Amino acid sequence: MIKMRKLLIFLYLYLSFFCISAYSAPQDVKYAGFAFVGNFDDIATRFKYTSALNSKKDENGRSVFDRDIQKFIQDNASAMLGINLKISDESQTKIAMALALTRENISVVNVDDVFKVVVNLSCNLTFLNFDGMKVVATYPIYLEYIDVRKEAPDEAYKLELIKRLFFADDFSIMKKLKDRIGSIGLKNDAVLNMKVLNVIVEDEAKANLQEYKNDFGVFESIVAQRFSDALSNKLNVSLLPYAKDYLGGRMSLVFSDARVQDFQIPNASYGIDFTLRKLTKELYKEGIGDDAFLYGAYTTIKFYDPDLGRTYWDQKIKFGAVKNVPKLQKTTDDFAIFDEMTGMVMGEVIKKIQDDKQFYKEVVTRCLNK
Amino acid sequence: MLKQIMMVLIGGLLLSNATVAHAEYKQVKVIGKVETKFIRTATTGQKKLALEDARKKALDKYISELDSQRVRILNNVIDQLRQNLSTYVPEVVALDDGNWNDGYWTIGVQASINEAQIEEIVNTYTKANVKKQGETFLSFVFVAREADSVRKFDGKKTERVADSEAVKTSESEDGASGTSEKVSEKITGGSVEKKADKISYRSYIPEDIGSKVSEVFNKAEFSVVEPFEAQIDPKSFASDFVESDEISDATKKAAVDAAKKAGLNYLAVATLDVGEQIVDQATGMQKVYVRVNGYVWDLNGKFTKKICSVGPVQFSGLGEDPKVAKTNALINAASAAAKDLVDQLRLKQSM
Repeated sequence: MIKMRKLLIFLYLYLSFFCISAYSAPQDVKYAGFAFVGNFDDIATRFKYTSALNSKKDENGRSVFDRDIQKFIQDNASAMLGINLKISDESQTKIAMALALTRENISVVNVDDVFKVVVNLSCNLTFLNFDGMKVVATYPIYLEYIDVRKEAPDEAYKLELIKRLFFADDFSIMKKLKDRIGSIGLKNDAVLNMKVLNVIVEDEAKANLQEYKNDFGVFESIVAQRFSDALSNKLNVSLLPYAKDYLGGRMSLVFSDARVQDFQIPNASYGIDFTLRKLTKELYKEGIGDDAFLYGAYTTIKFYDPDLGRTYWDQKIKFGAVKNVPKLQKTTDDFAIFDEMTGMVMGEVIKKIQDDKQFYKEVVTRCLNK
Repeated sequence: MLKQIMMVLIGGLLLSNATVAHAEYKQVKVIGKVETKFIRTATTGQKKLALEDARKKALDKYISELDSQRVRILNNVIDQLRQNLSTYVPEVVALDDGNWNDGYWTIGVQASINEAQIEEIVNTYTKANVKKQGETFLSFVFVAREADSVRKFDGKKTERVADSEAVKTSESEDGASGTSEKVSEKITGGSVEKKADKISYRSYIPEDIGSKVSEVFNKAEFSVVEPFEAQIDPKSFASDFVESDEISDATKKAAVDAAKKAGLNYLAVATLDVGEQIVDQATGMQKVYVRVNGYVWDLNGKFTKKICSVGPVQFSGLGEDPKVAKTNALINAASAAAKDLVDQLRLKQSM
């Protein structure tokens, strides 16, 4: 009888161990390469500098993106959670991972006698299921670079800058990816997810965003990517790509070897609306040598379920900061400050979410990557 | 004791099966509801009831979004589906912590529908009904055509022109100088006679889709008979389809007589019209559209009856070259039409 009991305990422990190890067994994931998001015909115009760099091939017919990103992934794959990454392997797994570039934006503005260069790069580390041709999960990565130069930047400078912003050791997409790689994993199916559904820029904000006056859609996409990046990075929640960048809920990926694959983006568990109500600049204090201005960004953030008509969080959040401007300075670069304020208000939103225990428990914990 | 060992083993195996990740489920969102008149929250038991209510609603919502034929089949097995909700709706994940309002506690839920299991119950149900009728023999003729050459006609213009001239002269008062202006008026009119472009087609019997269509009918438990076995001539369908948009009565009669003589129960016919290839703006790949029309003749009675039909419906296919795009479009169109016809047939057979 005692022997039988021992046998039962042994069986129970053995099966428990078997189940736990089966549950935590790493998922085989194939590395699919570097890709551009969007229409094949628009690649050369939408991603002018990245596609130019990508078209330069070495003696093995590989671009810097094919070669260096693969090497980076190879060197850092072991840090990913529960992922057994297969590179150049005939694995039968249907799950693949790709680094997809969603936006490349370079703007040059002449302010007084200097040139201001603003670069926005948005990428998604995307997990794809080739079985149902679906996007499984994305990890947004957003990079913004602002520089002021005396000379007008030429094409060679821009090309070199983009390359640097992808691969430099100190500040680049690869550096951001390296910092986050330890928290990247393929989520359990039971975890819910979020998606930025709408970015609304109201007139009072538009008035201070003259750099985007010809196409506010670009600014909206940048804000969506930036906010997704902040949520993913600071809250470690599972996110799906910004809805308006992918009409019809489909994401087309153009890989380096010109292969085109079309993936379905599933509906998100929770939708997010980000409204930028206004960007303000007011004289705060007049001084002798310089004046102090109060800059502010006002937003409304809503987490909701459009299918069920339920709103989980609807908050007005603002952020302000005082900046001193020398009286002798001919022109103030307000755009850079408004851009900074937009980033700061996103940080404020994250803080408010973390402070709201009820909302955090009810919604955020359900989307945590674990 | 042996029983206990068995239970531990079975429990363990079930648990290990439950850990298989990334199963393909369809997601549906619903609100589960439970009446809690006397308290402003829900007990554990009431929460379970609300989740069970959500499962039922998720199944109903899923069914309501299906096409009418599929809905009618599922309505016949709805009790079975509801009795085994955890099989057909295996996962319900709460989207919130629940709300109490007006005597009811509600919870938002994201439910997973196991479509493979639902397909299985549809198959089992129809299989049982088909069995009652014995083996069902079916043959199909799917023909395609595509434009071989297009002769474009410009509009024939008839123009009427009428000219009139008048000379307007103005003179100065002294009569020494003056200007003379010639005014000309032209009246035009007429008509344009437009003639439709003459398109010549070439037809064919696409081999690529044969196995796909057979697979659909076979999975639905029909015994697929090759047309040549029943002396049906698909080529006459193809040549009719080239000449006009329809299959001639003579061809239909010959096929039906041959099929009846061979003892077939059903004959399925579909015509697939292949459009021109275009470049897909989203992917830059070649894209081809195919328009499909199809129907099934019931050969069982004294008279042949058209018992179900599909189309015209358009399907597209993408490919790196036009040939691949065309094959993909034909396969998509033919298998979708076959699936729709099968659903309609299943329904007719089960009534």
